[in-house]
Amino acid sequence: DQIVRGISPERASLYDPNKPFTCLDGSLTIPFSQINDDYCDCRDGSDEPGTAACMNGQFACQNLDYIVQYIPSSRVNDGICDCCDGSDEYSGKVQCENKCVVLAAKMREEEEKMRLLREQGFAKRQELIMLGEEFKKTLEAKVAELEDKKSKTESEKNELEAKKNEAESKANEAKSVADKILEEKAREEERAQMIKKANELFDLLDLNKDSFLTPSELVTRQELDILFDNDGKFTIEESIQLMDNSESVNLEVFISGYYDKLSPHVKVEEQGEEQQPEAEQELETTEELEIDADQEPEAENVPEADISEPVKTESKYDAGTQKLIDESNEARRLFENSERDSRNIEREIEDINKKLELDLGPKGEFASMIDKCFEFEDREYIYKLCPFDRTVQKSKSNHGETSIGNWKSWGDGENKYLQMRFDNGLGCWNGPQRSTNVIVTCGIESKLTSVAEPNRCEYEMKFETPAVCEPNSSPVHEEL
Amino acid sequence: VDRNNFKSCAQSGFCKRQRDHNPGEPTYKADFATLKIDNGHLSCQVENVKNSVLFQLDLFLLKDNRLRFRFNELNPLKKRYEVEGVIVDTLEEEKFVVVRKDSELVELKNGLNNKVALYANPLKAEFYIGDYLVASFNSKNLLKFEHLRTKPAPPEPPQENAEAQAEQPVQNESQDSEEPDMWEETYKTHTDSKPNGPQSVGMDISFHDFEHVYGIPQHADKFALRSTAGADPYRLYNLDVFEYEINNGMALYGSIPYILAHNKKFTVGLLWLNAAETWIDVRSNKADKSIFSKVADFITKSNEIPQIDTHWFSESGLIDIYLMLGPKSTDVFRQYGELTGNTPLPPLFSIAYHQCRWNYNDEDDVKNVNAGFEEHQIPMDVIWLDIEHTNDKRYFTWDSIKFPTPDQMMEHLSSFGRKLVTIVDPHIKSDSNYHVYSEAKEKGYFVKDKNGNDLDGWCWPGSSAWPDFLNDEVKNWWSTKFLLENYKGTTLDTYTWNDMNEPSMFNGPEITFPKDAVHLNGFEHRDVHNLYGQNLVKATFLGHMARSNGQRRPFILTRSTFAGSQRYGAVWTGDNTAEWEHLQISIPMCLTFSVTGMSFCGSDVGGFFKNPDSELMIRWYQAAAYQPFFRSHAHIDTKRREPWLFGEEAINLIRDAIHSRYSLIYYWYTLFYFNEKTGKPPMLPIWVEFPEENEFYDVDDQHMVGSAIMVKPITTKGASSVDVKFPGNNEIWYDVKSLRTFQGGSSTTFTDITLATVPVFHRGGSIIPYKFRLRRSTTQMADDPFTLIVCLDKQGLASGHLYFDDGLTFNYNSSKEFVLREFNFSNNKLISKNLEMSSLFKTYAWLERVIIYGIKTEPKKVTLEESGSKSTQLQFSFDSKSNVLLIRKPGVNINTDWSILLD
Repeated sequence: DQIVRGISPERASLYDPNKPFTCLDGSLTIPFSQINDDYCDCRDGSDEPGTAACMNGQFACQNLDYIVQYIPSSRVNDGICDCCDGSDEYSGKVQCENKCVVLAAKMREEEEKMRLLREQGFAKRQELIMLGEEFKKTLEAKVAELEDKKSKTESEKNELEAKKNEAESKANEAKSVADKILEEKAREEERAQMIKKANELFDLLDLNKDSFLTPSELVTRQELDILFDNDGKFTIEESIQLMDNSESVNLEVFISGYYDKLSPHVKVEEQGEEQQPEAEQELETTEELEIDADQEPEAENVPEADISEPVKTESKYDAGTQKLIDESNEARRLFENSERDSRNIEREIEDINKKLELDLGPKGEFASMIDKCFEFEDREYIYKLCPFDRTVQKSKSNHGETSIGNWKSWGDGENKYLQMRFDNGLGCWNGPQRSTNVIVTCGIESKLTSVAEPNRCEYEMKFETPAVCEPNSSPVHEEL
Repeated sequence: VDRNNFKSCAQSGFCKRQRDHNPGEPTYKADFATLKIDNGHLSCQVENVKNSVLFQLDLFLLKDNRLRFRFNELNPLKKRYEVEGVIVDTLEEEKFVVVRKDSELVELKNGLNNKVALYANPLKAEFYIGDYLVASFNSKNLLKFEHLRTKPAPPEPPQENAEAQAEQPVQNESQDSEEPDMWEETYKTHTDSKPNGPQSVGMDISFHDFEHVYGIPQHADKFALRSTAGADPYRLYNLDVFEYEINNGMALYGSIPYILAHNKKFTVGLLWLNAAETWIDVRSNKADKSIFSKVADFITKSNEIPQIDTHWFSESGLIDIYLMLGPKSTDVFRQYGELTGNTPLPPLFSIAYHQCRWNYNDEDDVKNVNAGFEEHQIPMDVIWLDIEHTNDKRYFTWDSIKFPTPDQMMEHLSSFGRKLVTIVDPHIKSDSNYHVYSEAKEKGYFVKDKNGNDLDGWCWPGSSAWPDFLNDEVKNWWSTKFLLENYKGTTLDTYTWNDMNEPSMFNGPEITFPKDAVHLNGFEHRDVHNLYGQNLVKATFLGHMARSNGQRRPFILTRSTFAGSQRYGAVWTGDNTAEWEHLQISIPMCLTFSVTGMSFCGSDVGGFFKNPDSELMIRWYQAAAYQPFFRSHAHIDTKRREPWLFGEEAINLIRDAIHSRYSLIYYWYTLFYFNEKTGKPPMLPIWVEFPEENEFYDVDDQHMVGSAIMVKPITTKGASSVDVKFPGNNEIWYDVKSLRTFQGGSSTTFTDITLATVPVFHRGGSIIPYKFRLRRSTTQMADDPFTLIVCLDKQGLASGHLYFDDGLTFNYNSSKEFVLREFNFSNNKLISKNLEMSSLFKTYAWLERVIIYGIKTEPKKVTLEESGSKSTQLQFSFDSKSNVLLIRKPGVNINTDWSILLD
């Protein structure tokens, strides 16, 4: 029994009825009769453990059939039963029933349940660890396999690149030869065109049609004065001078010596007005041609780019050259395919390595949860927890899916694995980006047991898993 | 705030017409040939000389130095709306003496020798206290009473015989010139059909020799009213203003058309009893001059008597004015209280701390919040549930998933001595399967639109209808909804919050009803708008009374108010914001409500919108602990902010702040008791206690709680110093924490500011009852002992009161079950005296300690004397440094006669 009300047995020695009492903080010494006299003398509340007189006191419930329990002394005689034995309510204001026996039984039951849970959970945790190791091994094997594949693909790729380069250089060589021939042809055509035009001009200027052009014939072309003083009069002297004092020139000499000089200036009469637009048209046509010429290589490139199905087009090259070009295109296609395969493998390796780098629990307990999602359904939504990836809220009424967080980290605190953090989910209207805090507790199966939104756009999930079950080390309260 | 949603004066037809009204020649003339005098009632006819329309003027001299001035059309086309349900006084008339009476002037005197002078042409009324002119009506000839008229026919085509027409004499000039917006008015997408045309009323009212006026809430503005020169008038039109801004005269949720004027000699009050949209211009010849005029002008006229000119205009109704002639502020509080009622003594729990949030999500959430207060040992009396607790915003119902067992939840809360408040709004979801809707629909109880159909509008539940609470039958029907058998899951520990009762209608003009909606007896909504919310609260009050057979005191919180709303419950300052400026404005806003009767006022602790940091949260708790209504509340989109979520230091400081409220809860309760009996509000501007100290007339960052406590809350971020002005020459103030003393008439800058600093001072001469024991809620405090803190004045005197009862029922009124004691200290003796000899209340509460501040010398012994019995020597300790004497454990029951003698 308590000698001093509200004092637990282990502290009873501090209260000696035969001596004045010194407050436990040493601040004051008072007669022992002032202990529990419903008046607070000590600043630390130590003189009134059994009354509500001090604001900062502690009352020890006797709880004979249960564990000693402290309550704030402000709850003594407040009409509410706090101690399971009701020892805090002794004023008679309320009658408290003794709940200690029932509570103790309940506590034992609870502890037994916890013990069982821990036992089974911890066993399952070992399975998870093994699963995790297997999973890890599988991943590592996969990486090895991929590395192997990667090196094969790499050498294949190098081979194909060499082939591609060879084919390309052959094709380029053939193409440049063919291109030179084509250029020569084009020049010849150009010259023939010029000669044709010179003939026409010579015909026009050779007024007497004797196949010779004389200064007197030329002087009729007043517009040629522009080549001299441009005084508006093209004289015979100027004409003679223009023809370098020759009395006459034939067609051959005209083409080689005078056509270039005269043709820009000779006004073509009568048909002239028709000819002028013609010249313009010619210009336009040339421009169009040039544009076409510019586009040509691109036009050629289109089928080349579409490696899978080269389109047969009328080639400007001879069959032999075209064959080399086709071969080079094919070689490039093969090389590029191989290059893509190689990149894909690298990416796959990278992905697996990332998973392997994750903190998957002290012994990899969480490894088997990679790529897994756990669901929880409430009235309106289905929630998904995908560890190491994301959390999702899916509406039941429509198919809308809302990201409520992306994997961020484990929690902090003594055991960081008891908390998972997801952030940077979809932004809230007028608010923050959604985030999810997952509270992880020991359970026999891995499952999501509840989802709440305690703050707007901040979700809280409760996740049970054997992965965090600890072994039974703390002993049951044997004293009961 | 989106100002585009709310009208400026220029956008309101009648406001523009009245404000711009420039009479030129005087318009209204009284005909003293029609003068009748009967007991305290004088009446006569008045003519608008411009259009010959006749009016009736009634002047009543009422008991207790009050007057009523009523002005209406003599023969209106139809009855104009006259406010009902606000005045609770019998309006007993007082006989007067006619001092002078001729055709131009009638002078009357009441028993207190106060005079009224009524001038005939132009019509003008002057009111005197003794020889001092304090108020005058229509001295600027701004009276403009738009008589009811028939709508003019559309303009006829020009007539051929124009000559003949011109010869016709002007037959009836009763039509004022037509101005825009008289017969139809469009605002944004809403058109007001105005079937009755223009009918606004307006008049100027001057307060002579006054420089300060207060009142006309609700505005988020300074306590002393500003001049409205260069701004819009103060507007009174109950509106749901989203994210309101501070420091302007925009309308808010409540309208109390009551103004007080105060100077060194007098305090007077004036009620403009009109429930329609009302605007008030305020001009001050002194203040405006110092702002607007040239220095030379200012100097030459500096001897001019100061004067406040106000100009009031309402959209419809009558001119019906009640003038309280004081002459002291406490007289005005009583006079206005007699007229509109006082705040009835609230149940004790309701003046303690309330924990609210939009929303506590479900029953577990409620339990966890309760558990948080338990764990952190923070006292709390009430948890609140906002709209989400209902079945899809059907009030009187529960969301069956989130709140499947409300009766168990109630039982759980009650087991801690705590209460629950649920929200009940006036918008009724249009759903024929919802019994409240289908019943009201069937009985024809809903407000109608202009075409006579039930008014349909949009609010929280979607499409909704609104019961016409002006109708007493509707009030009675509504009250039955609160019967415990009808409102399942509730108990007598469940109380009510009436929100959105401006009324708020999301798709209406200015977020409320169209003005041409129709109420009882065909009156338009424009006539009764500002009364709607009060009638809802009254109906709810009836419900609380009904469910306990009139045994338990109701507790209701309302957002919308009108004159008289104080009779039904508490008010808060609405949807404020978590910003320092909003914490600051909560003080003037509640001071204004306090002096206009609505004394049970508080603001959302922490601020409704946005997220407060821990400093703002702490400071808000510290300030709100000294305001009448103390509730934390938050918007649904804000972070959780229960007191334990801001770290260890904040938990302790918030607990201290809440504990400071609980330790003074019986002081507060005593103030509320006197508030019911005398009309004097618990939260007071300093000038009420120190009426002649004009340097405090515009102070609104420092205030009194009763006569004994002065507070200067810290309301700025990172405050490193705070200036405190101490009123009262020859008075002493005691710093509650440091026990330092300060002289009245001085001021001090405190620089040792920490987050724990809360500048609170006891006034020398007062005795303040404390209960220092920290409990879970007020329920557990009933039997706890008292500490009396005796603060001596310079003469070594002090006195104070203590009132308490069961905290819950009407037995204090019906069967005198209460304790009312007066404590007096003089001649080194503290005496407790019973002020209610027939008190029947039994209490276990006892006297734990007495602390006396300002004792100069240590007594040799301290003796307790109980009436008719022994004397006991008491232990004591004396601190000669701070002159504080602590007397240990007198131990007497608080409700016995005793004295303590210091030798």
